Amino acid sequence: MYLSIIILPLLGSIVSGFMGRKVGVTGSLFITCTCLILSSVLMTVAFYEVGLCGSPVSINLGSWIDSEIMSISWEFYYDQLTVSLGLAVLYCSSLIHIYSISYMSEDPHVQRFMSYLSAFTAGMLVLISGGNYFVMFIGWETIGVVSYLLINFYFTRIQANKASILALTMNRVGDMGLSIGFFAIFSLFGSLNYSTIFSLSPYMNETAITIISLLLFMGAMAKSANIPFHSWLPGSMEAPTPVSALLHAATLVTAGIYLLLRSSPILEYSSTALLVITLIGATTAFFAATSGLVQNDLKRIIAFSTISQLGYMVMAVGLSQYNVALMHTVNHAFFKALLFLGAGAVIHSFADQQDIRKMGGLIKFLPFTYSVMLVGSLSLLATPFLTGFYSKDLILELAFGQYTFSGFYAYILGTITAGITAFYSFRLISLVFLTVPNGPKFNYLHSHESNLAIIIPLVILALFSILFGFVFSDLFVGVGSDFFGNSLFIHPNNISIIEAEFSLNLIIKLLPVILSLIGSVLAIYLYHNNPEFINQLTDNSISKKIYGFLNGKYYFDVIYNHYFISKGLLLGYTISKELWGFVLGPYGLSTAFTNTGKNIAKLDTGIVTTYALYITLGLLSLLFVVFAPILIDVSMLSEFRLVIIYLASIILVLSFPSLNNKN
Amino acid sequence: MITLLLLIPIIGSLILLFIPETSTSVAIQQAGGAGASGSVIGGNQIKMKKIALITSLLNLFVSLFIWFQFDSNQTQYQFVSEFNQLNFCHLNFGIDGISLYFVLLTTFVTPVALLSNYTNITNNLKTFLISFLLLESLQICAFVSLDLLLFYIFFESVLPILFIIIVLFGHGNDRFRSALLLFLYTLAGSLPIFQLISLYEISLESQKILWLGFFIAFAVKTPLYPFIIWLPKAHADSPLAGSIILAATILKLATYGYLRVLINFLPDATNYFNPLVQTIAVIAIIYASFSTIIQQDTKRLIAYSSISHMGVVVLGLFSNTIQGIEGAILLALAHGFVSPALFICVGGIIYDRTGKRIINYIRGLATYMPVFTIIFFIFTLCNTGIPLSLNFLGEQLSLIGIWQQNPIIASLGATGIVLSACYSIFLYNRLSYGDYSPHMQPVKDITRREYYLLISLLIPTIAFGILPNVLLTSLHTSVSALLYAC
Repeated sequence: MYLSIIILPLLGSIVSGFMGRKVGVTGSLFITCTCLILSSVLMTVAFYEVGLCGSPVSINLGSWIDSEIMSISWEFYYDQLTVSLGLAVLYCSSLIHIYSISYMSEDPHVQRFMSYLSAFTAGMLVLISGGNYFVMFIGWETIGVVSYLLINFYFTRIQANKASILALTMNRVGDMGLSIGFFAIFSLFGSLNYSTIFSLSPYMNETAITIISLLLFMGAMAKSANIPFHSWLPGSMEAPTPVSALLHAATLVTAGIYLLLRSSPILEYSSTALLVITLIGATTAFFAATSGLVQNDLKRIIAFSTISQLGYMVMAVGLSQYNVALMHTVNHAFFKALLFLGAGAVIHSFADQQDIRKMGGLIKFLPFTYSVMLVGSLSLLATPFLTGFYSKDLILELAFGQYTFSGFYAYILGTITAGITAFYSFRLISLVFLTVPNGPKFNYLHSHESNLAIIIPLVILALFSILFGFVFSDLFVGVGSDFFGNSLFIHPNNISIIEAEFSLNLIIKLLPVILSLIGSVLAIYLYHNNPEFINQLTDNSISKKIYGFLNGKYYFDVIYNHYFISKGLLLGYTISKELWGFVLGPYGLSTAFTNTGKNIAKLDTGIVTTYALYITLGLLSLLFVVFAPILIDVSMLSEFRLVIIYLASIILVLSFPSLNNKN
Repeated sequence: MITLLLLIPIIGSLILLFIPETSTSVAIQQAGGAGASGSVIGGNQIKMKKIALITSLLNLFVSLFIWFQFDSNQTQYQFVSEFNQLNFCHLNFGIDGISLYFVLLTTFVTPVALLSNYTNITNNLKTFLISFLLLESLQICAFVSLDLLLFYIFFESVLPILFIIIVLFGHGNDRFRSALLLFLYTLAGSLPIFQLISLYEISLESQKILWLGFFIAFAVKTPLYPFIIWLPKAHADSPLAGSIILAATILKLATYGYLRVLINFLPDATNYFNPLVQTIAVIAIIYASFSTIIQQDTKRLIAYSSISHMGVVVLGLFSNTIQGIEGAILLALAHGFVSPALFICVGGIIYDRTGKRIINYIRGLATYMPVFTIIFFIFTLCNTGIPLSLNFLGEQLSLIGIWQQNPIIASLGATGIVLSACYSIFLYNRLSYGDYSPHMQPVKDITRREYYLLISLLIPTIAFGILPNVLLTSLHTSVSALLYAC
């Protein structure tokens, strides 16, 4: 049963992808959706067996790599962490498959799309159920590649091409960090199996643990879109909306969080790494929220909100509250998928318009979509007793409850971010649904509520966004809950749940909620009741600069393009044309020989005194060579590697004239 | 058994020698449209091609049989055949775990190379076929010979044949220069071997000199920084089959040479020069990757990417760990599968249909060639070292090995993971996606022959990526003996 959970989506993907022509559109939709739903049912059973009954499952399918002390198996491991996350992944994924039936119905490439979606789900399942780092890495890379394909789904669009290349290469930067982390883990522990590493990590050198943790975090940063590897996520909104919901909200971006959660027994022994993780998480949350404040693309706002929430999760990991981070991951998967799918419904029914400045007044036309978007937004900004409240508020309380610098930093930034989150969420709501209509009349005439295949997923996700936190919070993050068993490790020194629950001031606990309230009321007031005021506010040069700075995402893309991409290409050009073409290439060598000859010929001046000088110099050199062993220490010549360096530098010096003459 | 392996291609080429080429071949020019000229080719040509193909396939089966019979628990050479009647050298052949896979790679790639140019060589067909069969024989000789002098001879002997292939069947007006460059560069690199081969008193000092002599020869062939300029030129101007052989096996001669000669015979000097080699290899990886990104010619781009992959191989070889060396051998094999496949994709399939190799003219192939695009994508990913491919295992094991020697070098070498993704995906994206290029006519998807060619290269890449132990079991004993035995 446990293997079928992974194999069913894979099967659906293969049938839909390679036999799409044979099974047709309907067949492909039927097969992939059925496989996913079956898989979700099995995952529910797994959640009962592994999670609620507390009996982790390990499956070993035989040896993969066997080289000296390196022994890696095809191994899958289901514990409480896997099934909790797996539940979110498979439920969201199934609902998004069903949603896509209607959303993609007019596309000519439905089979390809469904195949990608299912392949992505299979990759995600391999990632969370892999029993060692290498098997996990298979899933890790699979979701990266499928994300490339999905962002590039409309492959004739140049924007899609650019965004997908950016996403893949940026993820590869993280993969590089992760791979180096694997090398370090292997040389320190002699193994890549979770069980071996985690049981040995208390006894290892703290510096080594810190290096490993930071390298793993580099992988997580790229996958989970934290500063400075976040810039691929807003661009990836070029993908069809179900993809944005599945990959860039619910699942793919949580892969990095999963990696950190899984590696908790390593991270816990390095306070430095935890500090770095907290700082980066809090900064990311704040940065993304401020950038999202002034975006005008419907999906892009939600994308920045995703980055911001990922920042919260990373922050929780840095504060060693892994169960809270997991709870927030699962909650976020539900309400963010709801927001994206709701946005998709809006875009779909409003002539594919994505600019929120050209919408407005849609509450009359799309009341149902408005309701689910409102539920999603309220859950996102942690309205008390909705799903988001149980994790997001708790993160902030726990941050303060640490009574450390990093905790305080996280609390301050997190609380401000909560206010900003409320502001941009309600800015979206008021600009899209509440204000006066700003779009063309044609769009309004043709706007309509979506059909059942879109409504059902939205209703289910809305229910989850309302109820999931209430039902599961005591299980996941309750005081003294032993639900996670051995799957998450919190060092006894780092447990701060008691302080957070019982010793904080009421004002500290209520501050995020108050700020959220202020933010949402302000947003509705400014964008719905009194839009002139915000116009006047931005009508001076400083405001415009700030607006440009925030709208331009702190100019990170500019920095990357200007300093990394173009400099890298220039370096490539210099190497291949100048260095290998002129200096070390055949052309360069031949010109170097000719030029050397010419330079030597210049010595032949025909003046007797010059010749006398040469003779004297020659004599002196000869004398020097003869007496050198007595006068100076020649032992450095006996070092062979130095001689090579001398020779290399002489060759370089000789070829300089050829470089100069070229210009 | 090995004698058979060596003789079959020679017998095949002897048979080809006595079949007359039909006179029609003069009239048919070497046109781009491969399918069109297929019906006009004379009967003898088809017969000749079939003979050559069957010969090479027969050799493949013989080598597979050798693999099947191979005893992976022995450290000695197996299937040894001696010809001691010759007294100027020791004409002994044998196989151990290290050379086994290089022989298999050679016998596997030769039929692929012959099939890749199956329809578009019509002039001098006989020369073409004979040279490839001879090339196979000579390469196997180099891999199995147990005598240093013979190794040198066979190591060099592939050069004249490659020269002929590039000059006679290459593209472009510059091909003579490219061929000459290949010949002179590699020959000049190898001369030190020839001069030093007569030294036999092995003190550490002379080991160092010997080591340098061999190293320069192998570095030119690998190719390592700074001796790389011949490779992109040779690839760009050689015919497709030549590129395939060059990438898949000729470069592996150097890999094999490092293992067999430098690490095996001169361990102290290897240890002494380890930092030098690692530095050079890291420079090769980074520089080659950067110059790969900006290439405009597709074949040249793949050639440059070979350089950075071979850099990782060299890092693994000189890591002095079992994981590193086994990973390097795996990566060398993986490169031997993936690089030819990419050459077939860009230099064969796209070039045959459009006559273009400049990336800017090609765009949007996914519109007309979906099947081709899928396979091209998978190979592109394999080239970047995606998990489940053999490249991934090779790269990771090599770098794990080198990390245990020097973490900084390993981290620098790992930049190849990012850069290879950059240039591979950039190439794939530009060729396959976007609007359909206005410079091209509508083209047909891949033919059955091309499909099976690519699939036959894809299967081992993925299968060995999932079950590398099939390969690793025969490597363990030999590699352990290489490192630990005195």
